[in-house]
Amino acid sequence: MRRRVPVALAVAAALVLASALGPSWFQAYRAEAQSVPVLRWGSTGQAVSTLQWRLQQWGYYHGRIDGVYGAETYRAVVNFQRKNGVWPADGVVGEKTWRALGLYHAVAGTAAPAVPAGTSAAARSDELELLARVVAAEAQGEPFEGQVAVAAVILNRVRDPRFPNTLSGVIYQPHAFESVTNGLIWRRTPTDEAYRAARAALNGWDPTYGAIFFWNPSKPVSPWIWTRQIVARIGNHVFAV
Amino acid sequence: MRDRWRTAALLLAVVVAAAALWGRGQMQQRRTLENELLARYQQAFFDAVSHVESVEVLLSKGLAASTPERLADVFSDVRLRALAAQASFSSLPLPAGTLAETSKFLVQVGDFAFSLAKKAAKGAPPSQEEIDLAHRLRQEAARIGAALHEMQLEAAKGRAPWGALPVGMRARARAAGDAGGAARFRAIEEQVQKIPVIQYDGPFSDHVLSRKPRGLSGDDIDEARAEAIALEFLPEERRQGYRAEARRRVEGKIRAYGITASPREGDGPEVVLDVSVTGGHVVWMLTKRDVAASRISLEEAVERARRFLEERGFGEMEPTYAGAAENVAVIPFVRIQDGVRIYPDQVKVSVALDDGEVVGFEALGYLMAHTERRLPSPAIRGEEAARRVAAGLEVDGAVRLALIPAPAGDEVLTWEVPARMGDARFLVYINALTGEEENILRLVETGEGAMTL
Repeated sequence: MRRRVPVALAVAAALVLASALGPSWFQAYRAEAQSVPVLRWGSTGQAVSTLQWRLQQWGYYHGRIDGVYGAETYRAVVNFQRKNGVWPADGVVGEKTWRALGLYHAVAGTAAPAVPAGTSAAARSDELELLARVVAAEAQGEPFEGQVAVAAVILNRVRDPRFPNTLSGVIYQPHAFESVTNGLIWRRTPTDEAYRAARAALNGWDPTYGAIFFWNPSKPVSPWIWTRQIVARIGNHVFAV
Repeated sequence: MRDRWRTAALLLAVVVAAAALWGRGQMQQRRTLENELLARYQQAFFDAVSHVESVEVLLSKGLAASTPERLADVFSDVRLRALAAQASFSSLPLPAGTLAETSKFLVQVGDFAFSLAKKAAKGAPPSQEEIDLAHRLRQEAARIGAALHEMQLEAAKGRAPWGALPVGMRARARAAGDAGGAARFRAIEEQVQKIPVIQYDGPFSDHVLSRKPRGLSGDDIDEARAEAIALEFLPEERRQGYRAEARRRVEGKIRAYGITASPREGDGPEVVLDVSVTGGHVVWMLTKRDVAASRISLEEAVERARRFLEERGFGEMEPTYAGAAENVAVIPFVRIQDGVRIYPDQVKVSVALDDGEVVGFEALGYLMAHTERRLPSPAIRGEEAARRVAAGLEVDGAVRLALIPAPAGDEVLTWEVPARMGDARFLVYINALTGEEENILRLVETGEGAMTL
């Protein structure tokens, strides 16, 4: 460990060099800077409910999940901040507290950005968001490794010459994903698990070893797809090259 | 009585009229949307056709070029046009997979042209095989272009060549489409499928795409052995009281048993991991648990990851980076051979920052790449490599030897030179044998905890 950088720097090098997988390689460790909602006494709304829900899960909050930041929520937040070293423990839920709660990405982007988003910074976060949405829409209820596998298939397509070479190109390719055609991708909010799965895939986990198709064999699919070579079955999906 | 009937009839007439008006409005709206969408598709199609035709023209111009500069120039344009054609094709509303091989062909043509452009930029003319391949690809592009041109003439008259129309008219469109458009795209696709293997010096060459794993040593193992290996591999926290069961099979680039490890009784998260059939190597592992707020530092996480690998017999490995997101740290490790960082031999370990448990492991890249290598000795010295970075860059740290993958699947021994330009930080890779610059990577800031190592 030769160097510790104060404003943390991410080296894409290892990942990049080892995979050498073409144009998408640089994206894996890009900066993430997004605005998150700041909550304090009196705040209301969905973000407050999310906060209360997580605090309740972790045993800090015992009130109702009503989306209103009141006395009980305040006590729970201060308590959480103290125990987890978020300083100052002032009951204001900002970026640091969201991160400590593991909810940063769940709420990021729900507030208006304070500054115009930088190009690469936004790209990275948008990528995670987009991927998590597809995972949620296509693989909710699947085992975790099955969700990682679906995300991995999408990333494999980006690197495959038979598919568009951008993430958005792959996801929005006409007739590529049922959930894009029927709009489910916009209606369903990704769970924490979906974000974790998307992140694992971005970090290189691929339970399909390079598959580029997946489908649910119990649902009607184009007969053409069955001509592909199946490499794995996870949960309700089969994966093929 | 008659009045009542009259009123009812009048009311009914009003309702019917209102419904008819409403329906008409709806239909007009739908038609407008449909036309807008069709216009997009038409544009994509016309773009694609013109790009394919340019590819053909540019390839022949490149073959006619007499100077390396011209050749580099023209072949760079080939790549641009080929990729643009691919992008346009993939936004057409065709059934999944209709133009898969055509897409691949275009990417390969672009990639191949680019490899020639890069060679030309170094002053090297294309070899006879490369010229032959360029001729062959030009002919194929011409053939595709001619077929598309025919379709375009019809499309210009408003008859869309694709199968499924959007909103509403699905059934009708499908019937018409399969008889006409989609079938004709399929004919192009079948033609492309007959093109023999395309091999050249680039990342999408067929010999790179069909690479086999090099790191699978040992004999084939059975299910019971795989389960035992999986159990052995689990982090200490999970080894006690866990049982492993092979539940899946993977028949991919690597054949593997998919193992699920779960507690014999009581609570505890499941751990899933794949063990390769050949040699019994663990390909990846994931522990399915939530992670609470961070309690341990990144340094400690790196230490835990290092110990995890050491205990599992991974030999000399060095972490290159540590990054945290949502209370999980991901740490890539690369193999060290004779003091050289072997970047292709990379594994990743993820560590929960709440209690330091290793919750993930990934070695697919390692198993694909790892082999016993004989490293050449560098022909130039480190100081010399550091002097070769661009004038605007300031060398910022010690140089070291690193083996990096080249685009066409081979490996190059380089000097890794850390450098900066203002705030921007880079890693520059200088070929240790020839002194040429092989690659430049920019280090990018992340908001969350991370460090270079």
